[in-house]
Amino acid sequence: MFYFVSGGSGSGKSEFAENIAVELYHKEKKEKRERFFYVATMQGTDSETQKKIERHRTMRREKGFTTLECFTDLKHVNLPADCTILLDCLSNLVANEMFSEHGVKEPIVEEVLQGVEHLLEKCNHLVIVTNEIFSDGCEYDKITKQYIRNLGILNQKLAKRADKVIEVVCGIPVYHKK
Amino acid sequence: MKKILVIGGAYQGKRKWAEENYPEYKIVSLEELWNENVKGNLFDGIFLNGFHLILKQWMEQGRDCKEAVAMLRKNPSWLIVSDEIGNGIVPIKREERQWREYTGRALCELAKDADEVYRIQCGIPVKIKGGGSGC
Repeated sequence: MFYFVSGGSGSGKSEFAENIAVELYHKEKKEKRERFFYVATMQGTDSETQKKIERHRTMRREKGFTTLECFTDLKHVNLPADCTILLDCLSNLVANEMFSEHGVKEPIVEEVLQGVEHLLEKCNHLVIVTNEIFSDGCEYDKITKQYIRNLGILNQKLAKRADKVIEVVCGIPVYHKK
Repeated sequence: MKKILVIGGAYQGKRKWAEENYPEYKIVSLEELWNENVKGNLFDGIFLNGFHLILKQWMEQGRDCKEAVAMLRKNPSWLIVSDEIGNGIVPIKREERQWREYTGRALCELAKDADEVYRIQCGIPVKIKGGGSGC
């Protein structure tokens, strides 16, 4: 099962996605319960991001995830077969691929899609968290526009690929694809 | 009286819809409410409009938003109208990022308590919590 979870900043999307992943994992028959992975994409570059990462770690504690950091190059992340994966979040991954030292720069959409396909091949269940960044009505510079466009295209393509698409609004799941 | 949360983008007709459908709720300021709440006086039928801006002001005064929301939640019934402000690019300014985060988390907390949550788009309400029509 492939769940695609979206939401704005502070919408409760990560907590919701974690709970979905836990539920999917525990539905698995015991012998199939290989591993339970959290693919973390945020780089702790300053105190604010470190605090954010810490907040997420606290939320995940005792939920049984093995955390795997993957800032770029998702298609080569090493995972065993039959696992359950939560990737949080796509928006950071795209930013890393575009702007960080080890990022692929171009072509972003294809790169990330290949990465997701790689996860889908490996896992029984995949939950991907993405971000609603499309409605603030501001004009941005060229490179930011390109970022918004890349994430927008990926959201469309992955929503098509996913079994379920959910937008989390104030912690409430709104199903766009059931 | 119920606990009702009304959210949506800017200029979508949220307040108008809320006033038309829930005339029994009365507008108060968070300041007045807080002053009474700390004395132990709780209220029914509070109407707070533009909650995202109320929180911003609270924050700019150097006051604790979480504390204000925790206190607000003690009142037995309310109607809170707020813009959704988290659906854009992460702001460059730290205070703006913080405001977005506080507002988002506050709305999650309020939505947990709410009997009904409505999201208004183009003046049209979609009920996202509380049964009946909508998603």
